[in-house]
Amino acid sequence: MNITVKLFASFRTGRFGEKNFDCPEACRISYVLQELGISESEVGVLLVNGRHGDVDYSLAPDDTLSIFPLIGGG
Amino acid sequence: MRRIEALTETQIDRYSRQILLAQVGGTGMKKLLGARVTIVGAGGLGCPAAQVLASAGVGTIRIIDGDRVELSNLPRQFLHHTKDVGRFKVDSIKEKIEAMNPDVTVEEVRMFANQANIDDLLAGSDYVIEACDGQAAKFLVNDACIHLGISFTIAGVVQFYGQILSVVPGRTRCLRCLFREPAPEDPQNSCSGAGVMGAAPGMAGMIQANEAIKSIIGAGALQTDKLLIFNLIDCSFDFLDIAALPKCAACAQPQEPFYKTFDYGACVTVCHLGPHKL
Repeated sequence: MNITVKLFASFRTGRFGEKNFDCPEACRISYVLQELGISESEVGVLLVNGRHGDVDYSLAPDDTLSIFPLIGGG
Repeated sequence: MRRIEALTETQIDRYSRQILLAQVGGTGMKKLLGARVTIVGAGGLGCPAAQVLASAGVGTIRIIDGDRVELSNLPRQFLHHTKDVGRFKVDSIKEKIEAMNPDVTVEEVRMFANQANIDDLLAGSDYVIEACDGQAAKFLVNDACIHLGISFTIAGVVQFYGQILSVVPGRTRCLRCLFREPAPEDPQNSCSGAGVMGAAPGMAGMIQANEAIKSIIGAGALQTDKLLIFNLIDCSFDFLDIAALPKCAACAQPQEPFYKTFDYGACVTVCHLGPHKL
């Protein structure tokens, strides 16, 4: 199935800002993170279609997954 | 907030371009001169924040940091100069601000904020700017300010990226409403590990200072309930809505100082000094 993945801030480095992403039916967000090389501990917030999600959430076709870090530097 | 009866002729001249602003005027200027803003951290965010506040005439700036200036700090920590390497950062900033504006009193604190001293360090503040390096410290300032009822602005930067959120306790959503808990410290999420371009903390720190100024004079809208995310490598600005979290550890029972005993993780990273226990 096809979903849209949006990456923000440092997650874009070496990846992309927004991209159509092909993944297995009903796959979990953790699968997408693994495919993108983003560890779960790096993730600040996950949104699916604008609502909070967690790594075990099962995605549906045409979902938009937004992945944000919590930026800790100062 | 200290009451200022009248502006001097010199102050009217110095701050004339601000007084001209409808949002400031003489009344707003007196509020700024009577205010105390506390900056937690004297590095990449703290320097530009202090510079804007001092230039604008915020009467008292308390700045808290136990760190000393290193050569690698200078490209982004704009108030520290080559001659300051080895000095306490707060002493370096105090010297620059006193030379910049005699209207400003600097209360320098040569220690790191922690769970035991945070209440005392923030006491008497009209606004707090969180300018720490490390997630755990950002959560500690968030939690303590909500308990103490002090409005504040949090920022984080790394590489060309930054995030900014202002919070009015009891009225708006907080860092925990969005991120819940600090993640384990990751060197790739710190300025020392991942690198940083000075414009990122420069811009974030100046926005933090502007948020403090707006709060003090009661003008405009603060950056509340939406996390501002900027990316200076492609000049993009995004806003992330923060949903209500009824069981937020900080907001749900603000009268409880849970941060006194909360486990913020093993440490907060302090650039080049190794781990610093909270």
